[in-house]
Amino acid sequence: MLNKLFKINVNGFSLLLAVIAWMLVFMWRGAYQFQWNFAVYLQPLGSLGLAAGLFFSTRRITEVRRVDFWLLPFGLAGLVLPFGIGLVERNLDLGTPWEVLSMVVFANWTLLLAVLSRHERYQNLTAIFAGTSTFVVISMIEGWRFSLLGGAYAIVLLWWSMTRYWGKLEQKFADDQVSKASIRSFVFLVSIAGMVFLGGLLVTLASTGALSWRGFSWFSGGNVYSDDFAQDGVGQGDGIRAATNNPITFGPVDSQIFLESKQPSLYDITSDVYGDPQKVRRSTRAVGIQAELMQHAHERVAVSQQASGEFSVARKPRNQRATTAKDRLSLALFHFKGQAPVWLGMETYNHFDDGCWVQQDQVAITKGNVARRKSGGNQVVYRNVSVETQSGKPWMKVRHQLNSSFWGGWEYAAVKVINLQSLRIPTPPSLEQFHIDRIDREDFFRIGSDEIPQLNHGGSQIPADTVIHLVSARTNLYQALVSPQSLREQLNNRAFALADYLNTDAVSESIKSLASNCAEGLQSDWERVEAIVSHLRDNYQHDSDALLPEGETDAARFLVEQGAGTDYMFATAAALMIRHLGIPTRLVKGFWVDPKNFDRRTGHTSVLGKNVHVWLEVSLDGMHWTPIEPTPGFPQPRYHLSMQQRIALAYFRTCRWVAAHPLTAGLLILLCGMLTWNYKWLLQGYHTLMWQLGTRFNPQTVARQSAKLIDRRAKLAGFPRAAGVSPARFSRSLSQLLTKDEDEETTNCVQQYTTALNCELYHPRSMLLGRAADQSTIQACRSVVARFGFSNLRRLRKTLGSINYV
Amino acid sequence: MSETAILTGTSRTQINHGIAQLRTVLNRALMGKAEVIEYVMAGLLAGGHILFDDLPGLGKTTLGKAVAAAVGGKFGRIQGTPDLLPSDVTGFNLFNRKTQEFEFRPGPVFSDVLLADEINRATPRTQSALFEAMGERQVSVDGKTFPLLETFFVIATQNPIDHSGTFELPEAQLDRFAMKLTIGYPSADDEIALLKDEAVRDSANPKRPEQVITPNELRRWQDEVARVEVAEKVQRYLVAIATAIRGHKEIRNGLSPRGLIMLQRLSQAFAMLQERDFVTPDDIQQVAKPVLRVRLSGNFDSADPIIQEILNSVPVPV
Repeated sequence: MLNKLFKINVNGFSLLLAVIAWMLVFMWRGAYQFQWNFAVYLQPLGSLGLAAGLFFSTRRITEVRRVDFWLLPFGLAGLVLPFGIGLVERNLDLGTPWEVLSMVVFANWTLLLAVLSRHERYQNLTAIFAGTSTFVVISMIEGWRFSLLGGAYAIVLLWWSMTRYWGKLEQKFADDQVSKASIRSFVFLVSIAGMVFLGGLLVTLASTGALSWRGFSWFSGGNVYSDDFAQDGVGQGDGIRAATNNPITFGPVDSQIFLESKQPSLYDITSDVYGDPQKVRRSTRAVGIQAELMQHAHERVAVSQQASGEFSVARKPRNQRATTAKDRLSLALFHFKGQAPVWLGMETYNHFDDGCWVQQDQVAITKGNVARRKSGGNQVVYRNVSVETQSGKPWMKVRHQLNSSFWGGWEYAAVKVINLQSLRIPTPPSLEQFHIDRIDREDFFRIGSDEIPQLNHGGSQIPADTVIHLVSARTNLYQALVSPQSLREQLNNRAFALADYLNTDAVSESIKSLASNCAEGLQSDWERVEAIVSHLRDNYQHDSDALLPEGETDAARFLVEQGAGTDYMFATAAALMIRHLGIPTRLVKGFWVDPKNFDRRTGHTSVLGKNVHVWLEVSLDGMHWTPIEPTPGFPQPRYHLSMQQRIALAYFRTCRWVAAHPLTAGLLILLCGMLTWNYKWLLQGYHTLMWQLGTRFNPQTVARQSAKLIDRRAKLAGFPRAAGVSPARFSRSLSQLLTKDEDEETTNCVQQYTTALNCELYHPRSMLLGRAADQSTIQACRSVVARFGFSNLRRLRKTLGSINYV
Repeated sequence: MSETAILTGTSRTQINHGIAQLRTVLNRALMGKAEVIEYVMAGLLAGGHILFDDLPGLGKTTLGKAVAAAVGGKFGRIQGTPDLLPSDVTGFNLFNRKTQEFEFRPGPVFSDVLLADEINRATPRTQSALFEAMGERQVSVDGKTFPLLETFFVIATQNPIDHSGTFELPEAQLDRFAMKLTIGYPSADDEIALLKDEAVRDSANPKRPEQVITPNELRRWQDEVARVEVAEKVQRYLVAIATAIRGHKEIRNGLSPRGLIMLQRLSQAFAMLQERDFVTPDDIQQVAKPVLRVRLSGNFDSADPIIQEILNSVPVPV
């Protein structure tokens, strides 16, 4: 009726599907439009205009080929137009995410195909395009009801297209004897299996957060690429736009809200998780010691007060009070958007003495430089960050990209502060630059020698809802694995500045010997570090309730003797052991971003108070700090390696292994050579095995399988069956060649085998007749296969050269 | 005579038994030529006429007579000479004085088996009359049409060496014949056996061909041949062969669909001779040469090497 009314000749169902899909896509697009003006309507108008244009151009054409010709330019326009308008919109600050634009392209094509749906070949295509875009849009909308709806829609559409396709399939198989029911169930099962697989893939991707940090598609912006208008992925898109309208000012600091707040500070969280430190009264403990050392102790107390703080490994039991943010809706200290797990440092310490980690910048105090230290004043040297504007954004450069052999590409991430009360920025390993909205004053931040950026305002804290974008360098271990010697040279050249990180005064002899044992025989520094880390991870237990006894300060020895300890004990032990081998280490306290806390709804990972964690970093070249996780139960950090590097590494390792085990390698090569020499035997053995299995489980087609086996054997033996020779004739010829004398039994076997084979291969209803299944046929086939053994065929090949077919 | 009792019945086992008997009888008539006899039997079962193209004295006529005798029914014979007239083949109208009417005297084509000896010595007019009878299975004389017998089966012979005074058969009409066969010399052993056999021939050892079946029985066999099954992939193989022939650069006239149908029918007959109720590619390969020989023409003396080449190149369905 509709068709008659408007004098158009379009398939109604296809048009309905296409219009639903088109409207959904544009409604979805509307959700990402923050301003509404005339430009917003360009996109749908363009799309409708294209459809109308195609309709009027092809209205009178009946020949499908000429319609195809018209579809091409319009389809191309449907692709170019949305992106063209999208670029214009970006310049008007109306940006639409790229993935939304790509869906608009899809919607355009759907509409164009629906316009042509009077031709049958476009009906299926329309349905598939419309279904896909509807499914995608529904699945992008939050809420399980919509997901369910999308799934149901997809199943209905799949069913529909299958029923359409069955018609063709049944026609195709009409002559063959395969039953139609089995085709149906096969198609159905395959489709269901495909759906389940795709669904499982989607669920897995979504729950691990991979979709979230990589983005919906490669052009969404992700942890390797940043797009202002990205809807998903890390980027700088709206997904993590700060909740407050204007987070530029740090006003709350002055407004006393935060000063009066009872929110937990970082210090509180540390005590919450690990318990308060045992108050070691250093001055009183130092009474009995020499005057110079006592002075040293006093000074260190002063230093630690001035510096970033200290971390004591000797702590009191935790009290059970829960101070974490009762009055806030979210328990999270901050949200992390990016690839988890990741280790975000808040404080680093380089000096361990008397059960306490502190950060200090000078070489350990010795007799000689006490005077210098006195005059040195401030013990932690601070510097300002530098500002660099990139694509309109003020980025705070923490350091300039060192010409480091450890650089393995950039990693984009973002942190949204919620309850964290700290002037320090949670810092991923090797932070390169960061950016908070439009703050462009370089005196706003400062960085100490601990390389953690912090606010320059004494006592102020990063306000809630601040979004911090972080760009850090991935660690690439290729140099460390391939040329440890050159790294060692670099390290030695910088030995003076790093001496603070090599202090081993507090290491007991048993720990030293344990470290030496672990690293015995290993050449490169990285291998030694790995050996120590795996020793710790494999042989000791993580026990978050373990405490050093009163008065005890040697956490490393305690861990080794008790066999269990907290993460800071593991970190301390690992740091000291690695130091003993001459590799600089530092302790890092901060947060471990647990992928289990990934929130699928918002696409970010929450970091809670309980995620406070202590680990360590090592420096193999004196410039780059590589995070190390020595505590069992926590994952190891990922180290980046490019594909070429992986291949090169595998090569180097193989060479090294061969050099180390020449006898085994020689034997292996010999074995491989023998295998290569006799690969034909192995292959035919494999084929024979498959034949054994196949005939056991499917004796109906025993003759066909035997013919296939004989073909394969003959091919391997060097005289394949000619294309124009039937398998039965081939077998008869072989039998004549192999048994020169009249052998009645063989003749009978071959006769029975070829009869069965012909029946299986060429009888129109062989599957239904099941003639070949009887026992004597199976016996005959087995005997023929045994007679045409591979060795027989090879011998024949040697004496004969070629076959004369009977 | 007990073993040569005339067979009746249409069950497959009975037919197989009959075929075996026919084979024995024909082999006794022409010794050592089992292969040729298989082809002749296939032609008989498929209802396709056969052309023998060979030297004199090799047993063409003997075999033809044996076939005629075995099938029973009416036997006709034409001896090709330049003065043979079409009416000598088809028959003619004779004025009957008593009835004062013309009366049709049927010629030799009104028989179950017709042996046309030295067909290339007859004039093209006469040849053409015979070909019309073979193709149409009817004869028109003076505007009246007379149908031939249903089992009408022609065995024609021609002599390739004696070219003087012969009229070569036109290529376009050659495919009235289903097959062209050559007999060739017998092997030494067979020839010795033949000599021994002939030496003692007398009335006690009558070498008269025996009748095995009746023409009606033969017709039932022919119906049964049409029931031999051909799977679709085997038919695809047939079409692939035809395509290869049509694409071959040395062949001028490719295989016509009629020729392809004849190839399939003869393959069915050959399958039945093997006591099988479905066709295999081997059957097709077996009958391909004699069937295609009459149908292919080009710049070659013999089509056999080209046919072999094509059969080798077209992959057998597996």
